[in-house]
Amino acid sequence: MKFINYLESIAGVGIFPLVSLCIFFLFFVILIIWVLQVSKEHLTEMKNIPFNSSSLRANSTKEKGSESNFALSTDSENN
Amino acid sequence: MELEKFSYDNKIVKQFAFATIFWGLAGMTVGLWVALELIYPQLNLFEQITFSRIRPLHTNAVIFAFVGNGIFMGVYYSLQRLCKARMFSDKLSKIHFWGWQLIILAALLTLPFGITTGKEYAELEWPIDIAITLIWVVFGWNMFGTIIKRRERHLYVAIWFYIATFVTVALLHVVNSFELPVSILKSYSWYAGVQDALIQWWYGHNAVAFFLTTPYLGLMYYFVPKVAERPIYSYRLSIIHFWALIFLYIWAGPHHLLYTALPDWAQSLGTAFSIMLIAPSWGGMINGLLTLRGAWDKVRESVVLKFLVVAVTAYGMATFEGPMLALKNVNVIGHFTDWIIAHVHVGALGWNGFLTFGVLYWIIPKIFRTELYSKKLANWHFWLGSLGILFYVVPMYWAGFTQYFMWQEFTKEGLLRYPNFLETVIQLRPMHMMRALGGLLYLSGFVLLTYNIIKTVKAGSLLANEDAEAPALTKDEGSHAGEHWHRVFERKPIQFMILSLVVVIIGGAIEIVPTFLVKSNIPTIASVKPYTPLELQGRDIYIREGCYVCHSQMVRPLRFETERYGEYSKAGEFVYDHPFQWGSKRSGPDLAREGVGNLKKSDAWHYSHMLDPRSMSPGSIMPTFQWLHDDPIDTASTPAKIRAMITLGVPYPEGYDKKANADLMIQANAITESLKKDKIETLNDREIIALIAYMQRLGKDITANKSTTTQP
Repeated sequence: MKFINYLESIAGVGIFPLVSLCIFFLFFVILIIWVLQVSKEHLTEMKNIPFNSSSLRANSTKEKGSESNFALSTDSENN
Repeated sequence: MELEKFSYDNKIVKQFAFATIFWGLAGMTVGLWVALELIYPQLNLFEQITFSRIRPLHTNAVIFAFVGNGIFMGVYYSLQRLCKARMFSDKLSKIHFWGWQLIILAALLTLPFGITTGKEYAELEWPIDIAITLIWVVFGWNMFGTIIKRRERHLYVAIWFYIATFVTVALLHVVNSFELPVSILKSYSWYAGVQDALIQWWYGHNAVAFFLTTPYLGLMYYFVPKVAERPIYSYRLSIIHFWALIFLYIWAGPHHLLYTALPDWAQSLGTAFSIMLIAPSWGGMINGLLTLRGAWDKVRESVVLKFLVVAVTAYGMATFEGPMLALKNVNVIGHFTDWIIAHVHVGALGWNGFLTFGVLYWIIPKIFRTELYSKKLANWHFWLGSLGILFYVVPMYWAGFTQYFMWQEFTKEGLLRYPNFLETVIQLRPMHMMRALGGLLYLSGFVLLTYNIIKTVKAGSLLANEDAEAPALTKDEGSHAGEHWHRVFERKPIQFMILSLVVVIIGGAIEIVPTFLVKSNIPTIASVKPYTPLELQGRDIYIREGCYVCHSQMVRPLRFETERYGEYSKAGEFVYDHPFQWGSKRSGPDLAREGVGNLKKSDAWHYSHMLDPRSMSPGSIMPTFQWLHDDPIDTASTPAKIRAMITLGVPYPEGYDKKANADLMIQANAITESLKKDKIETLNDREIIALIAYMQRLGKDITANKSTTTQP
């Protein structure tokens, strides 16, 4: 059987694109609103995750600053 | 709070790092070889290293072996640290590693032998496709297991990119690999013609997006801040970057099919979304580069940062160029030309290559607890690599424009100024030489890296299990009443994956569903008939030899194309093409109208041309295919092939599989007789006979009856 027949058998398939467009639009509107109002504290916490590796290694390679948590004040304007 | 002790698995990182280097060297060496074959066709020494067979080996090797292992190296290193947890299962890590290497080995043992599906960047045959699916699931299982048992409450943005990579690559691979097996190493694409093309480029474009881009963006979001020792410039931007990128990318595939027989609305959709893609792509690039604000002096000191900065810059360049190429008026220049090869290599050599090198130079000394053996050598690598990229892409841009201008130029009398396609081919030779030099420079740099890494590894010792400690996540940290949905998703990987999947399915579905559903998108042409058994066998030989690597079968509705090749291609012509063979690059002329009009050649011409292309077309760079003149057609496979085609909806009469070989021999005898008239003696069961039958068929349907009817 040709592939087309499988899709034809879906009832009301025509509404799919419209529903998709609505999901797309709503999703981005909500996302942007959230991104604009999210707290700087949360953003700072998130962006510092790579620097909290929890490694106990004490070896010869330098990993300067890698365990430190970057202060909010250093780049609060760019969160 | 009580701290839990655990360890990071560095051994698996080391294994993937070594595999990255090994396959990278191999894949790029094949690349250099194929580049040289375009200049010196005599380098097509034997069947298994013929250009058209090993060019797919090069692309598969650098994408899935070099970059693939590079992804896993970076993911296994960063994921453990971002989750504060060891990989979920050492056994799964092991299965993943060895399974992936075996898949690469399988590619190496099939593609040079002509075992291919004939779909670009998805050439591997169905058993390997199944193996890829299984190993990919193992990767996902291991990744999600790690994420679930993590000790860090939130998922850092890099992990979002890894999750999107996993889920989308799985979707793309499964949908594009729907194929009907004919034998253990041969299958036909489930889709035909235009639909096959749309699925293939939805896959092809998003393989670039979700295999070459999103995992590497994840790596960028981890390694650039780590190396620069400062957090990412804007986490806010990274959130928008992520969602906008994965949503928009999935729609852009049809820009690979502009001016083709793909329905116009789908082409426009592809263009619109490609332009929109600039925003998130550049958002990501800017986010990466601005992480270095106030710390640019570090770039002078750190060779790792140099690689990363050039990588991110190349990403910015390629993602500006891509949307530009998606504009119809620009695409008309770039499509089918070497411009596309240049564009691809800005991304592959600059973005993927340099990011991989940067990460390798950073990770290896760390896990081997030593300093890099030689910063000087690494700097040499950096400059050799950068020069290599320039020497590669600039001549190829030049070549691309040369091709376009020569193809489209008319004389005052309204005739093509360069009617012979070979004139363009010969013109490109110096550019191709420069490109090969660029490739050689780039590869030389890679050899320096290999030496540098070997010396570093020998000087250090692997810290296979790196001790770490972190507090366990407590249950109450999991729920916060009234918390925003996105923050909730940031802690729930499975839901996050489902949301990512929904987002990528939307774009794919809107493009793909109507193309399958609306009949008027593919007008039926009454005169288009299924291939005869001999033509079908010939077509399979055409696919096996990889002819689509250099020859398109798609005449665009442009005057300079119709003047050169004949009537433009219609969607209805391809309804029995499993898979489609439109191609994407014209190192040789289009073949869609090879069997009709001015382009038609005698059977004897094709026979001699395949035996020695330069005897018929002096200056040609085509390889010789002399084995076709010796090897017999595999007639035993004909009934199974006909049955498979019937299953796929090709209207052969009931029970035709039993009669097919008789018809095949009748047609073969006619061609043998025709050759005899031109004083060529050959047996009627040789593969060349089938290929001639296929070549002579190309374009015949459309001229047989010009009535095109659109069925409601």
